Formats: sequence, C-alpha cells, structure tokens
Amino acid sequence: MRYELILLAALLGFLALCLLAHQAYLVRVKARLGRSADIHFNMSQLKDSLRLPQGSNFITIMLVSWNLFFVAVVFLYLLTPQVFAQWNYFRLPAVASWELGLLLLGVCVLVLATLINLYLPRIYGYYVISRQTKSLMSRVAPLLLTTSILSSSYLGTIYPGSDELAWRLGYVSLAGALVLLMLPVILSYLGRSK
Amino acid sequence: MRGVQAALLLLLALMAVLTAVAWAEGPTQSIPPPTPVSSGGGGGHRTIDFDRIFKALEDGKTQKPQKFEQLKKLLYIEPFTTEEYLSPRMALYTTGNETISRSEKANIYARVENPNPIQIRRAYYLYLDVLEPGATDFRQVNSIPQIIQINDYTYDKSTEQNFTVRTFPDLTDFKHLKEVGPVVLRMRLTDGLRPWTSKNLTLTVTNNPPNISNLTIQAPTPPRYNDPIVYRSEPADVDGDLINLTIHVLSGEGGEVGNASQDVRSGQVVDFRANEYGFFSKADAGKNFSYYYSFGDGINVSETELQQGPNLRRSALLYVDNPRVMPEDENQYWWQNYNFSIDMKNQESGEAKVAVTLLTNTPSHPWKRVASKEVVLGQDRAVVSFNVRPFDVLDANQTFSYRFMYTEPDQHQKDYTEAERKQPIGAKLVKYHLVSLPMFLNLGLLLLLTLLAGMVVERRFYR
Repeated sequence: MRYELILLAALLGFLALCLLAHQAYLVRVKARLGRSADIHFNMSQLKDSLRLPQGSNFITIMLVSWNLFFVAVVFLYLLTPQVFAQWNYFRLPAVASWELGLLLLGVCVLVLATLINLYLPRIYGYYVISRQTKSLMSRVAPLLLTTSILSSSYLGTIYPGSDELAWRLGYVSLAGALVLLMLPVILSYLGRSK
Repeated sequence: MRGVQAALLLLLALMAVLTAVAWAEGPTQSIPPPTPVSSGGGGGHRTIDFDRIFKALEDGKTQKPQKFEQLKKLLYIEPFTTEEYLSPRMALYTTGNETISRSEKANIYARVENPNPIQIRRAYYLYLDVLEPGATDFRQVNSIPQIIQINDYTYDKSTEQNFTVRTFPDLTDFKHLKEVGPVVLRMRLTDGLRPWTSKNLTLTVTNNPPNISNLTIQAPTPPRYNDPIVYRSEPADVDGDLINLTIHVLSGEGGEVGNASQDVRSGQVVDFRANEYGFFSKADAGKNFSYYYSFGDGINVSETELQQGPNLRRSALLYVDNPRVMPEDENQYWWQNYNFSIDMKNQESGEAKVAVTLLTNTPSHPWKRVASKEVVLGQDRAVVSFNVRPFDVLDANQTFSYRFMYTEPDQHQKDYTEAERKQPIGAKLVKYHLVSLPMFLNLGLLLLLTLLAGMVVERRFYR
C-alpha cells in the first residue's frame, strides 16, 4: 500500500478518535451530573444546558477552516493521479482543460463540506475554550490549510513531475490544522487524564 | 352369366305371380291354398307351396298350353344387350370469364352424363387436351387420365340423367404460357372400346405486363466518375413472372455508352452499380448522362421514359506532398496550438475547388475530426494549413498521428494522406504555473467563496 494512503487513514482515524472522545466527554458529564443531583434528563437536554456561546467570529473562522480542510484533503489526494489513478481531477478532461477548473473542483467540495459543517463545528459549544486557544486556532489553522492547498496546487501544476517536499508540506500542514481544529477536544481529554 | 340372371329373375317373378293368383282365386282354384303342416317348420311350408306351384305349372303346360303361352308372354323380360350401348353426353365449361389473365385461376369443369343403366355401364377414361397460342396440335394436359367408375354418377331428377362433374388439377392457370391469345380446350373420353370427344371450349388468355417504379440514382451529389453510383429501381409483375430488366446508359449526345441486364423477381429492389459494369471512366468526368430501363416478362417488353443523371463532377487530380505539423514550442503541451500543413496543387489545367479536412488520432481520441476548409488549387504549389488546438488533457503524454482528407483523388488515387508525430505530447497536465494569473484567480476565488460559505452558515445555522 502506498504510504500516502496510510497517512490518509491516520488522518481520518485521528478525526474519528476525536469525535469519539467528544462523545465520551458528553457521556461522562451526563453520568457525573446524574450522580451528583437526583435529576433525570436526556442527552439532548444536557447538550442544550451545556452549550456555551463561543463568539460569532470564532465560529465563522472555524467554519471557514473546516471548509478549507475538506478542500485541502481533496486537493492533496485527488488533484493528480499520483495516489488514485482512476479517481482524480484529470479524469474530467473538460474541467481540467478549463482555465478555472481548479475553482470548479473547489466549489464542488465546498458544497459537500457545507453540509458537514452544519453539524461538526457545533462541538466547540460544549467546551470552555480559553482566549489563547481560540487565538491560536483561528490564526494558525486557516494559514496551515492555505499552505496545504498551495502545496497541492503546486504539485498539480508540475504533474507528472513530482516534489516530495511539497507533498509532505501539504500533508503536515493538513495534519497540523486538524490537530488545531480538534484542540478543545484534545485539551479536554488531556485535562481529564491529568 | 346375364342369361342365368335373367332366368332366375323370371322364375322368381313367376312364383310371385302364381302365388298371388292362387290367393285371389280362393278355394275354386285347382291349386289348394297353403295349409300349415304339423310335421315341419317354416322351410317345410315353403317347400310344399313351391311343389304345388311347380306341379300346377306342369299341369297347366300340358292341360292348358294356350294359357301357359299367354302367361309366358306376360312374364317375359327382354335380356340386356351390349349392342344398344348409348354414348355418353359430355361438355367442358368454365364458371369464370372466358377472358382471363395468365395468373388468374382457370375454373374448368367437365360434365359427363351416362344414359346407360348401371348394369351395362363401363368405366370411362377422361383426358383434357389443350391447344395453346402458337401451337399447331393439341397436347394432353393430364398425363394420367381421370377414371369415372360405373357408380360415380349422381342422378339428376330434373333431367333424369346420371351425371358426374370433374375438375382438372393439372390445369389451374396459364402462367406457363409464353404467348397469349385464344386457348382451345377439349375433353376426350374412352371406355376402352370407343372414343368420344367433347366440343371445344375456347378461353382468351391475356398477359399483365410488368411495370417499374421508384427509379433513383444513389450517389454523392454531384458524383465523381469513380464514386459508387447505383441505379436503383423496383420492377413488379402481377403475374409473378421473372422480369428481365436492362438499364441503358446514354451519353449527353444520346448514344448508348453501356447497358446491363438482370433477371429479377417481382417486387425486388434492383441495383445496377456503375463501377461493376464500367459505365464511366475518367474521360467522362464533367459530363452529363441519362438512362432508361427496358423490361419484359417474356411476353411484353416495355421501356421507361428517359431519366436524367448522373451529372459527373469534373475530376481534378491533385498532387499532395509533405504533410507536417509544427507545435507552438518544443514542449508540445496539449493546450498549445499546432500548425498542421500540407503542400497541394492541381495537376490538371484550371482551378479545382477542394475540401480539405484534418483529423488527429491519439489513443484517447481516435481519429477526431478537427477542422475542415475549402481551398481553390491551381497548378502552382500551395500550402494548406490548419492552426488549431486539437488536444485535451487526456491526450497528454501520448503520441499522435494526423490525416488530411480531400475531396479529389491525389497522385496515388487516394483521398487522404497520413503522417505520424513520434514525439509525444507534453506530459504536463495543468497548463499554468503556481504563480500565474489563472492560479491566482482559481485559489483567490476559492478562498473568497469559502469565507462567504462560512459566514452564511454561521449566520443562518449557528445563531
């Protein structure tokens, strides 16, 4: 198996683990509240009571970052035939031959990403996120994702030539951005461990 | 044999009469009435009666010979003789019109009346003869005669005659006739001893002449002398005869330049291919022709009216040479322009209008039509070129060949020239660099749209 595929699996596995940790966090809070107070409530009621406003600027930047994250994944893996020889942008010659073909590809990804974004960034509402953390997330994550997209685009422009450094830069930026996007979940998990 | 039969009949009749007389006269008769006999059954009773009758007759013969003679005359039945055998009466007739076409069903019947009693009838053998138009003698139609047995008759009460009606399966129509006109039929009958012949039945047989329709010429417009020119028609014949169809091709002056024939079935679409029969040659280029068909079914022969065509195109003989391609630069990427060109001239005097078409061939796009143009060629060499962008991203890193097709034949009598470019098309897929206006537009607009999408979703779903 190509190592790019293993890295992709690691990326998606990390995302899945974070989502599981978030779910475990909610279950844990529910159990603790259930023990301390003799109140009966369900998960939906718990979510409503736990939800904290994080500020519209922060949420907007996180939504943009998640959009960029999915675009960056597609650009890194599906722009050239390097990883998926049968499933890539160049299998659509009319689009690939067009001057604004990359934009069209990005918009298609954006439509799907928007559907995911209706739910995924809601996780931030259940955590107390410090100002420093928010600042770090909202400043660095979009930058890393833009770097990844630029690296992927560069690889597309030189294909069938290749540049291993550019690909690694694209992947590391992507992985780093994912860590930042999931930082509240990670910090919550680490805090509980301590 | 007949004598014995007659004697037996006479005896039986005599017995019946005498019994009746004995009953009528009663006890005054010399012959006593029958009395039951105690010593026997029914058979014994009859034997006694018969003995008495027999005795009475014997007595009468000797005692009253005059009355006996009268009785004999009274009961006499004349014997049958073959000397007075009566001739049968017969007639041929038709239930349809006496004027029929060759393909129509001929309903011919024979009626035979036999006036003789069944006891003396003899079997008849029936023959049908026909005298066809142009023939001098009758010929027998049915090779095996029909046989009328003695009991094959039906009794007609109105005419009090025994008759039979026969048809002839050997003669159902007159399709086989090669001439039309009056057809005479007659019937012959024989019983092995004597022949009889009927009166003639005369039918007038006519022919349905063939016809032809849908006369067309299948060819490019206007055709060249060596193009596939097909003369097409649909001959038909009501009688279903085989049609001999001949096409006559005429020059502009009216002289026949060629003809060809086919024997075809009715209703069949018939093609005459000019190339196959060599109607036209290079010398005919630019000339106008006409044609007509003659056709017949062996009896009637007809001709169509004169049809115009084909009007052959003037044929220019081209000289073509040096097909080549010049890419925009040495990288020859798929998004670049390529200049395909070829040298052409007309080898004949005058100018020739020629359509030239360029096709390219890659594994991804086999023989794709790229461009076409019409050029006027004189006797001076001219460069015909196409500056085009024939490839797309799927053709990257593939070798290609190209073909110039033209509407007039070249010096090799071909209508195309091909060449191959050994160097493959550049492998690069994206035609712009990272730092370029298109890339700036692509990524810039994408980032902007991403931002807008985030803002819209936040305002609509997160507040």
